[in-house]
Amino acid sequence: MKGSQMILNTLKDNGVNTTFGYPGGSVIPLFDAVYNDNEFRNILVRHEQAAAHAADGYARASGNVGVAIATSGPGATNLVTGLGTAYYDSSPVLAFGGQVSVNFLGKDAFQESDMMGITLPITKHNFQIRNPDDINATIRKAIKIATSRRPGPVYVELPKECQVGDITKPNPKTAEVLNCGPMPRAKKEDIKKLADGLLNTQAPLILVGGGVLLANASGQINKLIELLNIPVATTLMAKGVIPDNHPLNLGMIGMHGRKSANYAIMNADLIVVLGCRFSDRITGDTDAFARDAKIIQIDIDSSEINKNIDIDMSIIGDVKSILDDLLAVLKMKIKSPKQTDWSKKMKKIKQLCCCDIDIGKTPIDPRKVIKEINAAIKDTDIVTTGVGQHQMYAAHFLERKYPRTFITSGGFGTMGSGFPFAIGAKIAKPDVEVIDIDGDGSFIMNSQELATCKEENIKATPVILNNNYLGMVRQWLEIFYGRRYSQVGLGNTTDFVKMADAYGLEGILVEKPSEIKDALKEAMGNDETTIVNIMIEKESNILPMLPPGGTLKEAFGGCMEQAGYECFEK
Amino acid sequence: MKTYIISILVADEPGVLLKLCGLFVRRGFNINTIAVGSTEKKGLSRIMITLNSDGKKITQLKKQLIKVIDVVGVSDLTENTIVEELCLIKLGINGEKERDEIINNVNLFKAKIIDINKTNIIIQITDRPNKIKNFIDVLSDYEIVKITRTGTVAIKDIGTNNN
Repeated sequence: MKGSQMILNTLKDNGVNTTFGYPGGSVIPLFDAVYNDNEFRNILVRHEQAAAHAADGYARASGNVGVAIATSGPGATNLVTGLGTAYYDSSPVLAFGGQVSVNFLGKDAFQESDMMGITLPITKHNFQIRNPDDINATIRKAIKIATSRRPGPVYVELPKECQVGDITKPNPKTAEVLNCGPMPRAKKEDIKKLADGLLNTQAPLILVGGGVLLANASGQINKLIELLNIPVATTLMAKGVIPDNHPLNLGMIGMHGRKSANYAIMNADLIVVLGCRFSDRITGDTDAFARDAKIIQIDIDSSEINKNIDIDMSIIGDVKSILDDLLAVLKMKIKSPKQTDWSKKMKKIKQLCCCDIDIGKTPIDPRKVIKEINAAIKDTDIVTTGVGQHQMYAAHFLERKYPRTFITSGGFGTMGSGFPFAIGAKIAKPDVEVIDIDGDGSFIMNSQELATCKEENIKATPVILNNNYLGMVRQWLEIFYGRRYSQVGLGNTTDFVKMADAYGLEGILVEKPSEIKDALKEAMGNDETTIVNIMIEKESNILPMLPPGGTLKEAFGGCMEQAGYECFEK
Repeated sequence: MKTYIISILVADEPGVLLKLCGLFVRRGFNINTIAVGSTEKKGLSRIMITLNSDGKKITQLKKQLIKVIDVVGVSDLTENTIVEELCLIKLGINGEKERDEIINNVNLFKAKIIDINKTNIIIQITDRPNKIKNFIDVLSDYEIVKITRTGTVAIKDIGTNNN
C-alpha cells in the first residue's frame, strides 16, 4: 500500500471521511488516492484559505476534527489565516500541506515553503512525516493533539516521499503523545471552596467563555444557573451555551457588550469564570475590570491563570467534570433555588436592556434584519458570521438556544471566515439550515466559494448586511477620527445579485424592511445557495461600545443610552 | 529583575528547540544562555536556559512551556543548585613575562591550559558563571582572541537530608 492511501485509511479509521482541499504539485499522489476511494469525499474549494475555514466551521459545528488539505508553498501559506483563526478560538483543525521531496528540502525548490516554521506560532503542534511507515501513528497523534484538552489546530506536512512510498511495517497499536491525557479530577476541597463561595456571597455572577462550549458542558452550566438562580454573562465565543432568552442570561460582556452584562461584572462581589481567557476585548482596562469582585477562574489551561487578570483562586481541569462535581456538592446543600435581591435586580436589568428591534424605517436598520432572521430560523439551525458590525449585531440580537449553533471568529477576528464556516458547518450538519450573516466587505473576501457551493451542491445562505462600507472601521473613524473616512468606502460597485447569477445561483436584492421576510423565506426554501443582499442604513453604529482602553463602566450608547447606569441603582 | 535558571525536559523530536525558542520570542523573553544535551533517559533531552525576569513572568513562562506538546517537564533551578559552565579562551602571548602572568592566573582560578605555543594559549575554565566572569575580567588585561562558552548547566543539589 502507498503512503497516500494510508493517509486516507487512517483518517477514515478516525471518523474523517470528508476533507476540504485544493490540489497542487506536491499533493497529486494524495488526491490520486482520493480518485479511487468511494468512501472518501474531498470538497474542492476555490481557495485554500476557505479550505481551512471550512474545516474549522465543520469542527465548530460538530465538535469533531475538521480536515483541510493544500499543496506546498502558496497553497500551504494560504492556509495560514485559517489556522490562526482556529488557533485563537481553540478549534480542532487538522491541516495537511504537501511538501517538496526530502532531498529538495532547504534548497529553495519550486513551491517550497518552511511551513514548519511558518505554522509554529499559530498551531498547537506540527509534524513532518518523512517515512510512510510513520503516517498512521503521526496522524493519530495529530488528531489526538487537536481534539484533547484545550483543542487547537495541528499542521501535518507531507513531503512527496511519504505519499508515494510503500508501507513496509504494520501500524503500531498505540500512538502515545505527551500532554494529551485526561485532566486530573479537581481536588474535593477546591470544589467545596467554590460551592461555599457561590452560596455565601451577596452578588455572585458566572462568566461563561468558549471553553464551556468546547467542553460540551452546556447542560451542566444551565443546571447550575437554575439551581443557584444566579445571573450569568457570556463572552462572544460562548453564545448559545445558555439560551439567549433565559431570564438570567445577561448577554455578552466587553467592548461591545450589553450594558446589563458589563454592569454585572462591575457590581458583582464574586465572579466564577469558566473557560474564558480574559481577552482585551472583554476586559477593557484590566486594572479596573471587576475591581470589587473576588474572581475564581476555572480553566483547562493553567497558563490562562493570572495571564491578563489577577485572580483570587483557580481550579485547573475539565470544566464539565468540575461542574459535575460542583453540582453534586450543591444539590446536597440547596433545597430550592434562592430568590435573592441581586438575582431579581439582574433579571430586571436584563429586561431594561432589551430594546425593540422591530424597526420599520427605510433605509433598513440592521437590527430589523436580525429580528427577521430570528423569526425565519429554527433553534437547531446554524448561523455563522463574518467579522465587523454585522457580527456584533448578530452577537447582540440573534436569539440562539443551543451550543454550536453560532459560529464566529472571535480571537483572530478574521474577515471572510463566515461563508466558508457556513460551508463546513453544512457538511457537518446536513439536516439543518446554515445561514451566514455577513458584511459586504467580509463576504467578498471568500465569495469565490459560491462556485464550491454550486459544484458540490452545498446550501449555505449568505445574508449580506450591505452598507457599502467597512462598517466597523467606519464607525471608529466617525467616533474617534472626526468622520475622516479613510479607505473604508466600498462603493456600490458589487452587484451581489449578478454575482450569484455568474455562479448559476440566485441572488435577491432587499431594499425595504417589508421585503426581508419574504426574501429570507425564498432563500431558505431554495435547494441551492441563494444570496440575500440587504441594503442597510449606511452609517448605523453598533452600540454600546467602549472607548479604546476604557473601563467597562465607560460604555456609551445602546438601548440604555438615556437611562445610563443610574437607572440600574433604583 | 533576577537571573533564573529554567530546565526543560523535552522529547528528542525534530524542531523542538525551534518551538521553545519561538515561544520565548513570542512571549517577550530574552535568553541569556542556552545549553542542550542528552539525559539519563533515552529519547529525552534537557534544555537549560538562563534569563533575566521577575517571578510573575517566570510563572507564566513555565506554564506556557509545559503546554508545548514535546515538553515532558519544566523545573526552576534558580535556588539550591549546583551551577556550572564551561568556557574556552584563546589569548595572544606577547613575551615570556606575560605568559608567566597568564599561567599564574590560570592556576589561581583552577583553570586548565589546553594548548599553548609561542604566540597563543588556549585556556579552559569550568566554574560558576560569575567566577568565569571574574576570570575573563582578569584576562582582559591581555590580548583576548576568542571566547566561547557552553551556557549554564545546573542540577539540584543533594541537600542536607538527601531528599
